Amino acid sequence: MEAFEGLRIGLGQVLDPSNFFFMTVGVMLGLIVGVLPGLGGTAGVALLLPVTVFMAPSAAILMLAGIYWGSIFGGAITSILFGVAGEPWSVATMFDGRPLAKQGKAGLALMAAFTASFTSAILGALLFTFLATPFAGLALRFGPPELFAVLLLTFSTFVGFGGAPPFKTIAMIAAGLLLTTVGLDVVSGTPRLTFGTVTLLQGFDFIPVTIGLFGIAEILYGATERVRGVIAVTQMKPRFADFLLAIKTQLQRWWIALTNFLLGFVVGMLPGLGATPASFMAWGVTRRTSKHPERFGKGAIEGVMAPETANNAAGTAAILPMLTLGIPGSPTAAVIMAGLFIWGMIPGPTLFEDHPDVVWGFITGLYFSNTLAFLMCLFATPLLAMVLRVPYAILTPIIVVFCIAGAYSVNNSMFDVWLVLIFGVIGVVLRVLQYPVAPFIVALVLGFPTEAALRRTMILGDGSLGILFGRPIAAVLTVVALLLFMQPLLSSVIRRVRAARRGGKEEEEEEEEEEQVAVK
Amino acid sequence: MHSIKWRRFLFASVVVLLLVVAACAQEEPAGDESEGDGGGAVEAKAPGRAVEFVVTTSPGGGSDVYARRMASIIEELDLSTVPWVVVNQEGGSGAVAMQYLHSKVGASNAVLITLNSVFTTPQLQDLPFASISEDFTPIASMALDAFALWANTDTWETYEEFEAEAKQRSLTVAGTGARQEDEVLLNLLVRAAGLKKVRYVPQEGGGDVAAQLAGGHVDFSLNNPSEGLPHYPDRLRPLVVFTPERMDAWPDVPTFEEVGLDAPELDYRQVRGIVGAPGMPEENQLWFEDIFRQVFESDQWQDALEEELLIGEFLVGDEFGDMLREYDELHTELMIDIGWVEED
Repeated sequence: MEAFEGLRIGLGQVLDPSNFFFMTVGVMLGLIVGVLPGLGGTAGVALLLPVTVFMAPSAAILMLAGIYWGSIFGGAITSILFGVAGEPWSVATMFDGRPLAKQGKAGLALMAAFTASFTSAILGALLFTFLATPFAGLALRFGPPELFAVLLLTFSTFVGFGGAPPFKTIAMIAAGLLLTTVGLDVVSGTPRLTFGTVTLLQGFDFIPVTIGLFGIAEILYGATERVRGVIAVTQMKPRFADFLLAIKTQLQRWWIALTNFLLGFVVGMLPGLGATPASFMAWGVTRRTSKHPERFGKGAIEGVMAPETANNAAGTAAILPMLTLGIPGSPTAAVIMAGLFIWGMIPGPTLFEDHPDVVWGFITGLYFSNTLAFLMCLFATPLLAMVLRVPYAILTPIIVVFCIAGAYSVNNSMFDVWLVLIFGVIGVVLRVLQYPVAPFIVALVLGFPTEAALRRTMILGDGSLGILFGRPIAAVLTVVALLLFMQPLLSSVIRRVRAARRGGKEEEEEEEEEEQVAVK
Repeated sequence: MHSIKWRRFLFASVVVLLLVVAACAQEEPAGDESEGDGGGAVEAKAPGRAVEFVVTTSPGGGSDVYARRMASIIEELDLSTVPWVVVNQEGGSGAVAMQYLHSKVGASNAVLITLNSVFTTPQLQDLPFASISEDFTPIASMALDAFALWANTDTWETYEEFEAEAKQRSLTVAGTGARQEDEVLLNLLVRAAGLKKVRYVPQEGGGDVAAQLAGGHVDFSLNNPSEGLPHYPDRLRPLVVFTPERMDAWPDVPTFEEVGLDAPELDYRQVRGIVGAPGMPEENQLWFEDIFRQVFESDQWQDALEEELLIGEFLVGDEFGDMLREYDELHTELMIDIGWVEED
């Protein structure tokens, strides 16, 4: 078997002491950049790229990949503990992780996130090892129409998001989409809604907006709650029982893990999307298929596991088309690909033949670095609990500083710092008025790729959307998405028809009551 | 055991903190340290702090890869006394990065890596500067990047077959981005060869373009050679190169003239060069010229040129300034021809 032979080569690479050392350093750095808001895996890898010229390529790729895996693990930590997403792909983890933490179950949420991440990473590594080539071919089959269909599907999973009134949800989605239209138009290349300023040409980066809406707003809102004496500070006692419970839940809900893993893996491979949409989609799908969708957003443990499973799967999958075809599946994969170029390699089919040590070292490294990241997270949990014991008045300003520095570091722009502060205030207002913030972020993150995919599709189809139905993958995905969009409408129609058939007026009232409960 | 973990952790934290500081410590106002150098020969002088290497794309984009490659050569050969930090200012087809550099008037430590949108963007958008050649400090050209017409290996084998079909039906082309250099070339080609109107599907960067073509979602592309390499020769095939002579790496691929395209403007190249902040002090300009000369002459860069199928072309000072001016004029003409801008 070619794969076993490869693993043997890889094992030799990974177990080389200096390679192993650099991999460990990478994972550790990754955890740290993952925790710091704004400074993400992409930036972490990019910052260390120049250093790698002093290393052997196999050590370099192990370290950079280590940073990447570490950052995917680390992102969940601050999302759960402070409501500040360390990474864009851990925003969805926050939806349920944060409420869990507020209920005093931070330890459980963290353990669930870590176990889900680890399981998914190892599954990803297995797929990578044995099925790299067939999966890579799939990435090529996704053109603009297929991409658009996937994005449509993502949006459709968010119908009835968080149980908020539909009007509020639609308003927030619209606001998010509106912000994504600012900047350079993707097709004509002309500036849109920039009011003649160069600052706005860059558009609204979702990282500072997310940091503001979730991080700063969470802190400000937390401050008002403290004034009113509503909540105590999030506390956490590291308990082994949490770890066991997390594993147990994971095993009981194995099908959630499996579907989200596959979903994450496929979405992650698609060019330009990466782990962020995968995590949103996983959360949405899990909520919609759950028997208790109303618990989501209020501290459902599946709501933590789903996005964490998907983002690890997607993170791993994003590297696959990069290595085998030279198509980076995510921004971080693009930077690692830049590294390959710098070390004098051309990604693509020949890479496996020309540099088997590097490729297989990397693949074997998947198992090792994810295990390392998992262990480090487990051992860090008591440490995190210590951090939480730091008095609020000291901890909060530090978080704010990290938020602002992180936002600045994304584009080195002061504009982003203002965005953080402005959206921090907006976030508080929205919370007070009970508008759901998550749909806004989903729209902001996915708005641009969706628009771009839609318009490219239309160009390909000579202005007609019929092309969506003329291609098998796109057609299936689009139909599923449309059905999901209409599902609330359809199910209420069906319910009404049934009720009318039974002719019982009382029953209908009961149904309506049930609906009211579901909405709440 | 525990203490080792701790020490590593501390070490790692220190590294990260330093990196964060490095990433954040760039915004201080540029003090013009060096006024009045008086007469006589100016000596090259390093800027007083970290060099900002501004890039027009996100990390991993074409220009970004080149910039990081140069930065890593500078690091490896220990050419610079101050650190180099790559600053990604993507967006607006280069407008954001150019504007960023333009705002650093007189800065001794900020340079930008060019691609051809630096010639088109200032004319297409309303920006506070007129052109790259007039408003920035020329430093050096590092390479010229040729263009090739790529097709999927499942389709045409020769340019002639391509042209015959392209005259019959409207083809689809994937491009780097709206109104970027490959769209300029595309318009020139359509006109010179008399092709039917082409549907231009803008992507984000050359890598995406190659992937779309490799997946068979579009009919052809006008990519730089290096962008197609990951798929060459399995999925992509260059049909013609837009250079006066055949490329060393592809002795079998004809030039545009050989396939009968009688239009000298098709000899079109991407300029991978370096410009500095407006009004950069001469001593620093000389220092940068010297650094980039050493980069250009390094084995690493020469290898890079070969790997990425670039044409090595090193020019500094007035020569490079003239080249920028020529390209500016060329693009003005081309864009008037195409109808993107009005003649004034």
